[in-house]
Amino acid sequence: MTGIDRSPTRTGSALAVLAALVALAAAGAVSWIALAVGGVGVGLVLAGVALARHDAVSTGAAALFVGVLAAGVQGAPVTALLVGAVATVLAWDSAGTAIDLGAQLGRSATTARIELVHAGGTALVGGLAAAIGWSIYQLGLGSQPLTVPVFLLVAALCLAGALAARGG
Amino acid sequence: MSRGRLLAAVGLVAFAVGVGALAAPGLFGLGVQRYAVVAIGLLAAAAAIRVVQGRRHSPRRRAETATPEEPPAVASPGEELDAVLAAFDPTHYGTADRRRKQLRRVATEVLTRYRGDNEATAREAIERGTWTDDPVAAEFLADERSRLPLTDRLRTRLGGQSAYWQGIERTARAIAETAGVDTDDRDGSPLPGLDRVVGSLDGRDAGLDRASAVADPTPTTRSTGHWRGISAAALAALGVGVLAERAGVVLVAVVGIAYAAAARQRTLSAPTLSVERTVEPADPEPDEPVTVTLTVTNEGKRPVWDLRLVDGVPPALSVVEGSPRLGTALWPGASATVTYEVAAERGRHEFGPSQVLVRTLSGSVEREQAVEPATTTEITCVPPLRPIDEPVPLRRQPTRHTGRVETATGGEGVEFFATRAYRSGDPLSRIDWNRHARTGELATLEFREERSATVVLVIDRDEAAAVGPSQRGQTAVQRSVDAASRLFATLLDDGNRVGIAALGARDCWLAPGAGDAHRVRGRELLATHPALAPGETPESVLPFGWLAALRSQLPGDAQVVLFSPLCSPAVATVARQLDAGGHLVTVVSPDPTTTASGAGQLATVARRFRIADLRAAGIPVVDWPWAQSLPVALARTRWSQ
Repeated sequence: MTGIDRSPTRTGSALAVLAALVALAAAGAVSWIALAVGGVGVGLVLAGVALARHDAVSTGAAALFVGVLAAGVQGAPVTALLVGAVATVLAWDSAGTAIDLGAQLGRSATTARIELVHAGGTALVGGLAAAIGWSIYQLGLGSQPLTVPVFLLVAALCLAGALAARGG
Repeated sequence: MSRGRLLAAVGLVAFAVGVGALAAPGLFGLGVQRYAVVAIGLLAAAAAIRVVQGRRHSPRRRAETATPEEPPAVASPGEELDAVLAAFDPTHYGTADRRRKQLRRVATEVLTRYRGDNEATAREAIERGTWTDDPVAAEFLADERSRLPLTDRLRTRLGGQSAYWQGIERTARAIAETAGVDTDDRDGSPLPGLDRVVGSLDGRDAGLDRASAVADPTPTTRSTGHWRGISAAALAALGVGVLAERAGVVLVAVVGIAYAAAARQRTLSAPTLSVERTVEPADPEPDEPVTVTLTVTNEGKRPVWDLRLVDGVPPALSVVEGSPRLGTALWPGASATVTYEVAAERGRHEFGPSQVLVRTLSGSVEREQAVEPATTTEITCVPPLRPIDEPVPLRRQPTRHTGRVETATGGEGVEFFATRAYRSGDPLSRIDWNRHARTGELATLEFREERSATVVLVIDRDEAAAVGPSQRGQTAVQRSVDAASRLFATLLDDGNRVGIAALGARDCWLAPGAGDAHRVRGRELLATHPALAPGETPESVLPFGWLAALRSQLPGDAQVVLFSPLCSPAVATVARQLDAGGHLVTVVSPDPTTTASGAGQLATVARRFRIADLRAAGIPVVDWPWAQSLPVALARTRWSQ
């Protein structure tokens, strides 16, 4: 026995790669750019969980997200965009958790419960947000092309600023 | 904080207005111009980039966990070249080339000891480079005054192997070969093998972690930064969506905002956890697997979403089956169990507190604390005493009690010793009647007297002795304790009075005695005394104060058997001083040296010097090779008493 295996846990890594693939499928089905950039992103996430590198995972998730935005610009349906965005965040989150758990508890420990509960929480938050967004869209955002986005923008900026001020 | 709250309030208002405008079109007749929207879109994109930059400069944080699965790595003798050289030649040279000077001293000493040269000839041989066949080593020692070239100094700094270090390695090897040390079992790597270096780093990490986890029981809460940068996603989506006039993309920002808000939670109330630990069996035989079951229960009213636990396995024990780590989520009242097996080692081992990490559901805050069961858990492993059949290497010194140590005195006994002329008063049974029948003379038979000895077993448990040839193996201290327990049993069985002491530990003392109760006391002390516990790193002390105390405790006629790998000069001095003080000393020396590196080879040479010096001073030394059992080593040693 020489040291313990501190590589990322299996469940979290599998969840991350699966979610990354879902994000790729959601965005890449519409846009070639999304397919290309997102493909690189999936590769980076895969490499990140294989090598326990947070930076690779974050870069990969960012690439996937850029792919989702590109698909949106090219006119992808809003459902696909929301699914892609939530799946991207889920991939990033699961991969990060898997790396931390691997470093703290190692691969041989039983950790699946933590990972599933955590991913469930993340999926729930994303699902609720996506549902709200989708409802807003269905209510007819298109009829208010400028006013509503601008206020949402200001809201988001302020909220993000508030979070940044608290160190988030 | 107030700025943050203000921004949050404004953000919420803006969000409400946006949703309101959506619900009732025309409520706000804001004719926002196209250029303003573009400006705001650019602003959002810029803010996103700033957040990403901020994330890059502030790394994630997480608690490090201990590695209690394995005992700390065992150092090898000669792990540090400079320490080995200083043991030969403690002069503090002020020059940069101290090592070369010290190596010259070592080489001179080896040549005078093993080649029979006098000091002048040895020096000359070194100056001329004729002392060895190795040209690199010969040249390295020949020019004392040459300093390291600049390039070599640079390369040393950069970690590469320079001509200088190669010179040291080759010289060490040449010196060891001259001293008759077999250096062939090395694997050809010029420095200690990479695995060894990496392994020792691992081991050092493990030791550090283990210490920090136990030494710092105060709970700490930290922000993990797990979600740091998520607001960039929201900002980027808004910027891109507004600039591209895509409402769908703007909606993606809602997802980002939701996550940023969910990760906002900065506080984590202390969880109410209880742990319970059972061990089965609690008093195992050595190497017997012990099953440890740890149950953690959430006694609080709130769920614990993310619980990470590392059990406080005693330092000396290694986990052989399963893992002492657990990651789980616990509802109020729920409990989780982790089961693993450790291999029992001699000694009394107390479990430490479990290291517990709790996170919020989102994972943005982490709390680290120690949790202990209500009662301490202990594993006590007292190995049985196993006497050996070989004669114990005691020196001849009789006491007045009958025993089995053969003396050089004739008298009553079993073995024939001599005859002498009859003196009146000799018992009739010892008159040599055969001779009387032959010659008519009266002679008395004398038999070799066998008497008991008083022996104190002294165990070297200094830092310098806590070494071994393999990282995941025993130390010489453990070997010494094992050997002492076997000799303790054997000597008691032979009718001697036996005591126990540990070098440098005043409280570890068992006065010489005999009998069953004494036997039990000795067995307990050898198994469980903290000074002899495996996994403990003893402090290195100059043992001379202790030596004075020991001398005042030793009975006048007591012999000493010293168990020591002889890895430090101080121990050899202790042996000589005890011997000079009238206590006959025998040294049993497990050999922990390896020849895998130059420093290890020099440490081997140093130990040989010490053994030779002790033997020259009339102190017998049992040189006990690591691969041999104690009885074999004793049987192979010829006793010159």
